Amino acid sequence: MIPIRIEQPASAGSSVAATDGGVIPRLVGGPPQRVLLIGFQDQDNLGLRYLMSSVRAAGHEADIATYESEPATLVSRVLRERPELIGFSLIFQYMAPDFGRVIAALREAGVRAHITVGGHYPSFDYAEVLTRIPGLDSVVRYEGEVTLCELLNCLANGADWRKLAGLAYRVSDGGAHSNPLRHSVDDLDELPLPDRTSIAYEGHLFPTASILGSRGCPWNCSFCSIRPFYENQGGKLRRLRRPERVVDEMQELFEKRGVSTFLFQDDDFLATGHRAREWAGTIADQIVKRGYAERIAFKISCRSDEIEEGCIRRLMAGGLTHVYMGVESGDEDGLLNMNKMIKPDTHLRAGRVLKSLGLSFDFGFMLMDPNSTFESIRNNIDFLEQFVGDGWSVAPFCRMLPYAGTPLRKSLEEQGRLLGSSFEPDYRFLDPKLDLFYDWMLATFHTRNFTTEGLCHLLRYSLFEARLRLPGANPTTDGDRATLQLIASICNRTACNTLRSALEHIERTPFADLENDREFLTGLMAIEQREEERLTCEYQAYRQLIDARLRPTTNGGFDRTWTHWQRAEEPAGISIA
Amino acid sequence: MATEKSLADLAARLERLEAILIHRIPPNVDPSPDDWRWGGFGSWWQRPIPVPFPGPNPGDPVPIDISRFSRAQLELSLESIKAQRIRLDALEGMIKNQLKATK
Repeated sequence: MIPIRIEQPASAGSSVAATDGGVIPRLVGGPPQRVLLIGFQDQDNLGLRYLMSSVRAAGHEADIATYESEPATLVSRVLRERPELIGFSLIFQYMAPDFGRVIAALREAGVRAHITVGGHYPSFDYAEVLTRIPGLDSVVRYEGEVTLCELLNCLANGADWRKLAGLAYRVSDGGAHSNPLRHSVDDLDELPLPDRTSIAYEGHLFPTASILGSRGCPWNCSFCSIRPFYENQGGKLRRLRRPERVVDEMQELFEKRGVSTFLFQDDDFLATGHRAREWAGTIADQIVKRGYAERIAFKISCRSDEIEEGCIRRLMAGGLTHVYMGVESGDEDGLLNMNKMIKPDTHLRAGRVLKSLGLSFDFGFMLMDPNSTFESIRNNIDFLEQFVGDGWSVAPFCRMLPYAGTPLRKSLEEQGRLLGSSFEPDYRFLDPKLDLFYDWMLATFHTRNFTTEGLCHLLRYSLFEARLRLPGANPTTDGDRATLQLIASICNRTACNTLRSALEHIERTPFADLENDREFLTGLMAIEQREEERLTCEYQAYRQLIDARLRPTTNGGFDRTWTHWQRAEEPAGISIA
Repeated sequence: MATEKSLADLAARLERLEAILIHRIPPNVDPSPDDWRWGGFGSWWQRPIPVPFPGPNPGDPVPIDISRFSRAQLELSLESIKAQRIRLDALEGMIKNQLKATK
């Protein structure tokens, strides 16, 4: 057996110490391996970009390919380039069967490379993934920068990769085995910056880049797998980069790539109280100090109870232009069940603060959850109307899904309510009439909520743009903003009215009658969709007006994709983050 | 030439008369309930309210007999009206805001 020749082989469970060369284990001996990383590239996919830079820092070669469900392009590229390792980034759980088909196609084409997969879902459900996707060799569990590089170093030297911490693989009896997990990298600034060389920022109207200032979230919401993801691998629940390093990265992207708009992809930019507010404020202060105020704009995600006017004003001085809030519910009991530890009034207060400061915001909202009742849904509809009936933001809504690793999935399993498959978990509501309501809701609002042609997507982007705090770059006037807000207001209020009418109808009608006579619900759907068509026409007229102003002075256009995944994943209930 | 022109004028006149006759619905005939469609339903009440005099013009919509409507259809009529009210309320709100701003 060829001995493993790797610097600082991390033993299972040990912390990865920073060295002169950072935390990435360098290749010693053996030929550099060629790696093809495959995944969606929406919003830069920083996960893949961090992996790419780590692989290169380790001394290997890496490239990125955009994931496609139709495998022909990927198969021909792999056959042409013959990488030694193919790494899939599986973000969406329900895409696992699709990934499985592509991997099967690669194997059928004779690809013999080591194929691995990483991401939230495979980290939690590695056994299921390995069982149902036989073409896979391994799963890189949890944060993958160090594990992937060690795997490549082993492949280069012909060493046994099956002993590496953080890896799971199939064993001879057909089952799956996971080695002990690898401790998280304590100091995020020890990681190489994400490799952005192949991203075409130039040529866009508002060159926009994703960036990470931190990883993790200490909150323990029942529907979310972020805390379990970081908790399982040990270490701090939230790690912060040094503010100076964050602003260094922004400054470099601004100066060298022309990027002026930044989307912080941190799970919760303001989590962990005063310490986090001070950290965030220092980033803003640094932007001002270095002379980039009003030349840079950025977006953050946070909870509504973290919206504090003083802190937000400080961030605005540095360019804060947009806030995404995980609102999730407007029903007090619903928020309690979600373990959000927050009340609807806090959401409303946060909305008022942001509106008074002129900041655009959007939010995630789950109209229905496994414990929904007619009362809770009604409260949610009333809340939405109160929160954004004025059209300041467009109201999205979906239902909660029990994703892998979440306390919710465990709870439903214990209650015997978990249905569907591991890849596509599902449940029924406690009241069967609500199943009917959900089916109708999905059919009625599919275009509006879950497609790139829908009003949610169109309005979300345009509302962001209309309040973009980049002097000189924003083409909209007060009148434009009023027009846009009018469209969003009608859109939101109409949806709330439609939802409320359907809910009342279903509640008061005997179940048997509902099954036999759908005339009212079908008609209601038609009225909603007719209004949406009309609003879409009005929106397009608005858009033409704005685009006509932009065109003469630019050589491209912001692609407007940051607000939405460009595929049809959303019906499964993925909240926009 | 003169005969040809006369014939052409006559043909055109007949076409006009025919068009009028085709579109004129006898006043004692309601539209068939089967004609009721959601796609077109919303338009009936959005059309201008017909004035009683000097009488219907060719092509005017006939009055709707709501006694033929089912309960669901009546409820949906109200839903259509609510949708329009939402639109008007939002428009009114925007204009009032602008009025405040211009004071």
